[in-house]
Amino acid sequence: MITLEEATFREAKVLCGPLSFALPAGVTAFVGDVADGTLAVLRGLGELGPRSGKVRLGNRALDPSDVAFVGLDAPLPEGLFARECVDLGAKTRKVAREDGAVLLERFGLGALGQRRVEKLTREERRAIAMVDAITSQRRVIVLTDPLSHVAQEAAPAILRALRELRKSQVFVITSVSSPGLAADYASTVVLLDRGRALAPTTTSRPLLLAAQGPVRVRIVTREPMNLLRELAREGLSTQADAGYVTVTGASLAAVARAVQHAIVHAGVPIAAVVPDGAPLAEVRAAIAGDERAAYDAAYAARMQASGAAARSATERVAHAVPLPPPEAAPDVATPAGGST
Amino acid sequence: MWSLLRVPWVRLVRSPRSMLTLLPWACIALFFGWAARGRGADDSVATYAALPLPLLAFAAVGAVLGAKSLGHAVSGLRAVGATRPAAILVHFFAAVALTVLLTALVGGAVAALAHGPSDPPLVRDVLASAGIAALGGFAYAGLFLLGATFGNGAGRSIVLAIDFAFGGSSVGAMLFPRGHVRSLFGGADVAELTSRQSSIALLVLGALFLLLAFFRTRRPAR
Repeated sequence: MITLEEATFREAKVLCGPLSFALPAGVTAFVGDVADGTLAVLRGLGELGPRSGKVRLGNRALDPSDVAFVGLDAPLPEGLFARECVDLGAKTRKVAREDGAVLLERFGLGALGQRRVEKLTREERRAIAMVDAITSQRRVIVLTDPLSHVAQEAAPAILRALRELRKSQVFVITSVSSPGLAADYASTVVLLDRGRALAPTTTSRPLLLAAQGPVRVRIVTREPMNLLRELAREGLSTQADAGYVTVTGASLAAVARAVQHAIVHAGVPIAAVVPDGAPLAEVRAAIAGDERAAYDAAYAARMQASGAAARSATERVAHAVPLPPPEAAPDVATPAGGST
Repeated sequence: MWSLLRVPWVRLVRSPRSMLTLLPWACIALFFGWAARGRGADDSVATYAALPLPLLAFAAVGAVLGAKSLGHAVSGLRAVGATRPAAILVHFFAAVALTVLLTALVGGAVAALAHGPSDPPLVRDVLASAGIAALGGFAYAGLFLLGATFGNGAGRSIVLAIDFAFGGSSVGAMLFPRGHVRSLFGGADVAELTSRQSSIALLVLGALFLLLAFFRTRRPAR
C-alpha cells in the first residue's frame, strides 16, 4: 500500500494537496489536467518527493530507488542507441529481462532500436523510457500521461502492458486527462480538481459515465488523412493529428458502426482504437455529485440520530458532519481516508 | 557503476563534433611549442597555460556532458535507473579524467617540442610540465562542471569568461585557476604564494568546485 499523509506537491505554480489516502497495488490513474495538479503529484511521487507531509511505501518512506519514473520529457542518455538505453536500464537496475532490441520489437518500437537518442523525437524517447520503466521490475512505476505524447506505434502495447499490470502487486501510478482512458487501464482512479482530490474510487463509475453521452474515439493509424476522408463521408465530427484521428459521435454504437465502415473502405492499417470517453468536466461533476449525495445522506442520518437525543433535551445536536459511510459510496475503493 | 561509466565515453567517441572542438586547441598549443623549438620551453608553456589549456579543458568537459547542462546529462542516466549521486559521480570522473589526461599530454608535448639547451633535462622538464598542466586541468574541469550547473550549460561559457577577465587579477587569481597555473609555469606569483602552495591551491579549488557542483545537482530542478 502506498500511503499519502497530508502530502502536498508542487510543480511550477501548481500546488496540489494536502492529500491523505492509500493507494492499493495495481494501476492508479490521477485524472485531471496539469492545472489540477496531476503533473505535480506524479513528479512528486516519482522524482521530487512531497513538498510537505509523507508518502509511505508499506511502513517506510518511499525512496527514489523504489521508483521507475517517466516524466513529460524523458531525457535518455545521449550518445547511446535506443536499444542500448534499454539494456543499460536492465544493468543499472540489476534485472534479468529480454535483450533491448527484442523488448523494443515487442512494444512495436523495433525500428527505433538502432537510432541514437539525440536523433529521436520527444515522443519516441518517452516511448522507450516507458518500455524501460514498465519492464523495470521496480515496486513503484510512475508514468506521466503514458498514452499521450508518446510514439503512437507503441501505444497499443503500452496499453496492453498497463492492463496486465492492473492485477499485479506492482504500484503503477499514471496521470491522464481522459476519464474514459483511465477506466480502460486503471484499477483505481483519483480525480483531481484544482489541487484537490475528489475521491479515490474504482474505475466502475467513470467507466459508466464514459460510456454515456457523446463518445470520442481515437484511431491510431499511419495514414490518418486517408481515414479522415472516409470518416468525413460517414458524417462524423473528426480531427486528424500526427499518427491518429479523433472521432466524436452521439453514441458508442453509432461511432463504432461508422468507424468500422470507414476502416473497411479506406483500407488503411489500424494500430489501435482507443475510447476517449466523456469529457473530464462532466465526469468530475458527476463524481462530485455522487460525493455530495453521499454527504447529504450521511448528514441526514446523523441529524435523525441526534434528533432523538435532542428530544430528551439533555444533548445538543452535533453540528459536525461525519464522513459518508462506505455503504453510502459504493465506488470508494480505499478505506484509508476518503476524499481530502 | 561500470556500465554507467561507459556512457560519457561512448558519447565522446560517437560524436565527431566533440572531437573537432578538442583538436584545434591541442593543435594550437603544439604549434606554439613547435614554433619555439630549441629556444626553451618557458614561453611556449606559459602561452599554453594562458589560452589553449583552459579552452582544451572547456571543450573536454563539454564533450563529456554533450554540450548541455550537468543536470541534463545526469537526468539521462537517472532515467535508466541510476541513482542521482552515481550519475553525478560518473560524469565527474569522466570529465576530470579526460581533461587531466588531455591537458597533461599536450602540456608535456609542448615542453618536449620547445625544449632548449638552457632547460632542465628533457624527461624532467616534460614530466614537470605535464604534472602542472594536469593540476590546472583538474581545477579547470571542476570550474567548468560547476559552470555547467547554471542555465542550460551556458554557465560553462560564463565561468570561462570570468576566468579570462578576472583570473589574473589579485583577488580573482586566488579564486580561479588561471593565476596559479600561470605562476607554476614561471609567471608572476599569486599573492606571494610559493609554487607548492599554488599547486595545493589548484587541488583545493578543483575539489571545492566539484563539491559545489555536486550539491547544486544532487536534487532535480523544481
